[in-house]
Amino acid sequence: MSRLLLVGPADSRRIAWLQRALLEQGSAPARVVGYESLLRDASMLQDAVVPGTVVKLESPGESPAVHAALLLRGWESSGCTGAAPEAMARGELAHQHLWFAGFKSVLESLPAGLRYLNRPVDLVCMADKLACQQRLAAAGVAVPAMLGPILGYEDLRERLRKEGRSRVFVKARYGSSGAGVLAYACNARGDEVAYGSAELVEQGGRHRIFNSLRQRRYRRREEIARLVDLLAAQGAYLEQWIPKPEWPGRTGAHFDVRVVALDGQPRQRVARIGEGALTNLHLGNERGRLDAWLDRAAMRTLESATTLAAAAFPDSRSIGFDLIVRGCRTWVLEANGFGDLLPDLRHRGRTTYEDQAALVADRAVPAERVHG
Amino acid sequence: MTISEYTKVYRGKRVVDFKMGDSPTAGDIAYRLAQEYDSSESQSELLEDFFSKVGPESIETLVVGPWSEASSDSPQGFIDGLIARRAELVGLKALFVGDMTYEDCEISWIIQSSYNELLAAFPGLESLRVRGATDLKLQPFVHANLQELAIECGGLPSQLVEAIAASTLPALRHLELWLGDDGYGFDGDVDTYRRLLAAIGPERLRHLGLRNAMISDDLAQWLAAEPWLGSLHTLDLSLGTIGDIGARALLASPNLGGIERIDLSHHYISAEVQQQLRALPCAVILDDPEQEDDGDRYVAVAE
Repeated sequence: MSRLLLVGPADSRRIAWLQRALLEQGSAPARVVGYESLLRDASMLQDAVVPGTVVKLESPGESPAVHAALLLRGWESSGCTGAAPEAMARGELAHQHLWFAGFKSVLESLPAGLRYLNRPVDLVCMADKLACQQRLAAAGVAVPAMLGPILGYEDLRERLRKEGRSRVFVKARYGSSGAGVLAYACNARGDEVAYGSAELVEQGGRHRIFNSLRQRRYRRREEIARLVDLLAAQGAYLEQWIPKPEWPGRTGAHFDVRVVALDGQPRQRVARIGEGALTNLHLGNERGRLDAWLDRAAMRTLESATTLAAAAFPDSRSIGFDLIVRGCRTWVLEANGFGDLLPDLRHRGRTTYEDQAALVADRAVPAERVHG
Repeated sequence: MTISEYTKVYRGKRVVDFKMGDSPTAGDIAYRLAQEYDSSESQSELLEDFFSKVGPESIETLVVGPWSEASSDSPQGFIDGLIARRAELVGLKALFVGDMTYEDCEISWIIQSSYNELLAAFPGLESLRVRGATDLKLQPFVHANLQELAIECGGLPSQLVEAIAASTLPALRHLELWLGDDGYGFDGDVDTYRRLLAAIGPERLRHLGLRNAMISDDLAQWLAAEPWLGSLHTLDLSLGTIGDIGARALLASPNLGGIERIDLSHHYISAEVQQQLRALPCAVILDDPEQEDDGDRYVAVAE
């Protein structure tokens, strides 16, 4: 029996990639447990493992049914205040705070004492982008200046006035991969502009946000205010605006970098190239080979920033970090406990999944890695 | 669309950033003085650093890139610093002020300056390009050597056009104006530009750009009827709103003469008329076809 147990949607691409890596190295396939089972009774995990099993929690994000169940769990665990969350349309950005509360509640109910690839409390921290950035900053990692959570548009305006800033990122606190990120700027004459992938849609007098595949621009105050209010209602915070550098390989393109750390060491890395300079929009964006474009000094900076950031989560073995590299300056934008979805990207011959498969094949899981 | 790229080549030279503390770059390049979004040095300090490393007498072409913050401060510090070094900047032939992307600053937010003092201080200047028209000041001026004048903006006030019309520019060969949108400061019409061209003597122009215009069809109809049109090498009506009306006027024009290139990129021209344009004996550029949005057309760069 494989020494790996995966928690996630059975039909997930993530699970398929890892199973293939296990198969290719001659290991038995990992057992898969759905989040549905954990939602019913998390203690079942205890019975599902044998001593020495490593439990890897995959992203629950690929299953709409699990998403809905997590929302409901979040609503219940927050004391059932307000109306129960309604069903969401595909691509809709809503109730992210409830999703987070549900995710947190499930992960906190997991049995202690198992060997987790990534520690559940760390995954909870990384799902709260603001808490994660605070943790990274406390560990001495360079992150964009944090300007705190906001209550809504008026609060945003007030905060900028106080800070003397004219541009800022509004980020969804519990969002993922660029969903709900707005780049906001204003000038002294009262003009405003916001860029982002969020699409504001009005249906029957009700406003909703959808995650769109292209970058949009908003200039009308009422639209911007509505967007910011809708984002803030599900958790949003302000962050210093740091422009992404131009991708040297193609005019007009910009990039940031994803580096996957394994056991604290930077491994697979890739430039994520997009037309949009302002948002974390990566859907449909290209990947670029970093070593062709970053000089040795920049690569070293990137590696040391990743090592430092990974050390802020010493009990989590596989973390994807998103970074901006400008010259010899680097900022960590976020940490992602499910940041290993980079199929076919190799570092010293191995993909992220082959790295993880090797951990269980080589009996390389040190005993001190037992955490709850 | 917006301006999302920096200028790569200016006056035939590769443009290379110079930021505070940088070292000189070898080769026949044009420097772009650039401030990071969080730069703390003043414009004058950046100039100081630059000229301590790069001899002013060697500068022929100079680009002023993003300054911090272009939506609240003008580039006056750069302009004053250049004027103060006029005696050393003996070879300065070309200056572009405002090469920045929408990410640095929306084009209509860029605060500009007055350029008369600079033009007077550099009688040898051959090219002046300015991006942004907010607070841009220009009084009628006399300049014996200026060959190229360009104003890129999201909305061009007619006052500036009238100042150019009233100027004496015997060397002018390349005139490029971005008219823009009336929501962002454009307040002219075809007559504004008809008067301008009549005043400056259009026969001597090699390149005429009336770009980014919300009145491209009207401009094309007027230009098509001008006997001097064929003396141009290039007519550039790109980034605007030209459709079949303007395109057909150009097709039917008896005045195309020896014109070599017509740029209509960012257009609303039907496939059928595009086909006819391609059959013209000159190069017709028809990149970036646009679709009307509920019957509305938009210029490429406004806000």
